[in-house]
Amino acid sequence: MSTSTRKDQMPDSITYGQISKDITATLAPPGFKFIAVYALILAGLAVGIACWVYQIKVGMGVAGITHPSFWGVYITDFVFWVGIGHAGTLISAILFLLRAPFRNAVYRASEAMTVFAVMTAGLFPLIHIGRVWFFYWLIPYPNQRQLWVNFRSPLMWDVFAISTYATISTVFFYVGLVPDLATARDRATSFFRKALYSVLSLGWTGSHRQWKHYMAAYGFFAAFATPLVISVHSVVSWDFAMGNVPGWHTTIFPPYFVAGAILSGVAMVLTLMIPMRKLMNLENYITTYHFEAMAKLIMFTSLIVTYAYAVEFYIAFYSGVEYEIEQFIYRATGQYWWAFWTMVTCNCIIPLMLWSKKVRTNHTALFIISIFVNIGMWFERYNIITQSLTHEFIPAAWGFARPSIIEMGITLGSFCWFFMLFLACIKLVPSMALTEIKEIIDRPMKGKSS
Amino acid sequence: MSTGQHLVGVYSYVDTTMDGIRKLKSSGVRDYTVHMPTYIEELAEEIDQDSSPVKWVTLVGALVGFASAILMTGWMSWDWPVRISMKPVMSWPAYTVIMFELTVLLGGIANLLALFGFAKLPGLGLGPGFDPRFTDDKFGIVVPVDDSSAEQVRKLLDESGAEEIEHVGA
Repeated sequence: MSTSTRKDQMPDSITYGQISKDITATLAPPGFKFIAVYALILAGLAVGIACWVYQIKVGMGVAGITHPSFWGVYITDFVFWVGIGHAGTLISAILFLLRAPFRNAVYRASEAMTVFAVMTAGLFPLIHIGRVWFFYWLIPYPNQRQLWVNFRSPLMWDVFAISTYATISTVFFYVGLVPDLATARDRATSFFRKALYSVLSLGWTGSHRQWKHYMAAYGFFAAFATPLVISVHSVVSWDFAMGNVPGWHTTIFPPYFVAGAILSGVAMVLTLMIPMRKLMNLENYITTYHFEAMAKLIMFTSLIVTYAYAVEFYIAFYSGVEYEIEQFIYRATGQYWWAFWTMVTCNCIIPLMLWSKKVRTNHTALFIISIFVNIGMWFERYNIITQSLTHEFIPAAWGFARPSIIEMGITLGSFCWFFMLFLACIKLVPSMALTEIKEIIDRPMKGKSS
Repeated sequence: MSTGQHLVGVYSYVDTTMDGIRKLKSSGVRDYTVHMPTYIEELAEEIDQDSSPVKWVTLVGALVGFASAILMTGWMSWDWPVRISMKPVMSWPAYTVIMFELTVLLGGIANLLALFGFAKLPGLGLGPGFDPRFTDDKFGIVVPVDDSSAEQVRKLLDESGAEEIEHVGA
């Protein structure tokens, strides 16, 4: 059995000072390439905003939201982005509690991804409700008729689950940043940066008293975030499983959704980190060792997801319920066959290549596979939501929902919104947890007996 | 009585910093601050601190969250009862999600506030004797001194291998 050593993670010659220098160097003002990419992203975001404004002005009809699929691409996007967020919390919280050695180098970017993915996900219920200015009706406050929200509704559970997840993830992200922001403050040369990091680092000095309370609090954040990883996507799955729509009403949904979320999230971590490592000269810190560890997570969760797809079919037939049987035959062979087989190819078949160590250690291959997994996971949600809704109990009410231009424009805008936030973040705050990387290298010892 | 004077020992190594802490402790010096660029468990253990009280505040926050979820869902259910068939007005199994989420939310917020409170964050200044290298690659021991103790503390820091010793506030 092979075991990893510190040398697999980063070179021996790395010192505390080198880590601080290399990682704070990523905060240097952006070059032309970065600005050009950013401008492109802003253009995509402008398309999304224009589509949303048009939808608000004209009405939800322009998004093609009509019978029989009232939950179309927007809810697919919502579930997709919540899922993307999961890997960050998994890596930052669960792997922290399990003391996984590859976590320290990759968790900051993953956590940033979580926060921004949840922020992106949070836009979709607002976009989907149409009259966005009434979003506050979801909050349990007394209105004139003293009519309260319905706590029995999974949609209301979602409001609480997503708000809690967003809050805890953001706080966890920020608390993890504080010691690193102090390093950035103490190394900053420009007045603006010094002032910015002085405010953001909250006066952190790394004194033993601060560390004592910090480590205690950090452990609790990890402990709180861990059940959230499981619970949030379980709650999202109940949005569907609590309904009696054929294809939705199944008890396997929570674990199936959680595994799928981790699969898509880890894939997105790879999609982001492989280019980030290259562009920011972080080759010494993010190595093949880290990518291979994440590739194994993809293999594992892909197998769970494949098993869940198979079980869904098995249970549909085993139940003997003709609506369920019809639904699953339709899913694989009906009008949405292309979406179903895209999902199977991307989530079940392509990740099998990762069984080969050669593929797992090839960064280009990993990057391509991660993009396929992201596509597959988007189609998984599209299958569950749109396909099921358009093929319910009454044949006369069946239909086919084609994604509209507006929905596609807003989906594009959501990706651009996410990348805009992520790229801004890695230029403004240390994209790797330099304080925690210092924890895993050899400690500086003079050799005196201690 | 604080004189505002501090001796700051700057170290590059964990073991020399450890020696510095041991020498101060064995000489009866109890009031000192150790700065670390990253958390070093052995140093924290050597300083021999009590465990952080953050956990108690977090526990209270979590319990308040749990209780407030029970009260909120229960009160709102009975304030406008929606009676469907023979189903209970307060259907607590459906409310466990709200209870769990508010437990985590308020526990997490209490945890943050406890961290801020006990670690004195946000702080207005960086404290006497703080050196920017302490968040980079150096360890530091800052000891408040007066005219009579300064020489003894300087000797202890020097013997333990401090590479620089600075007298601030003198």
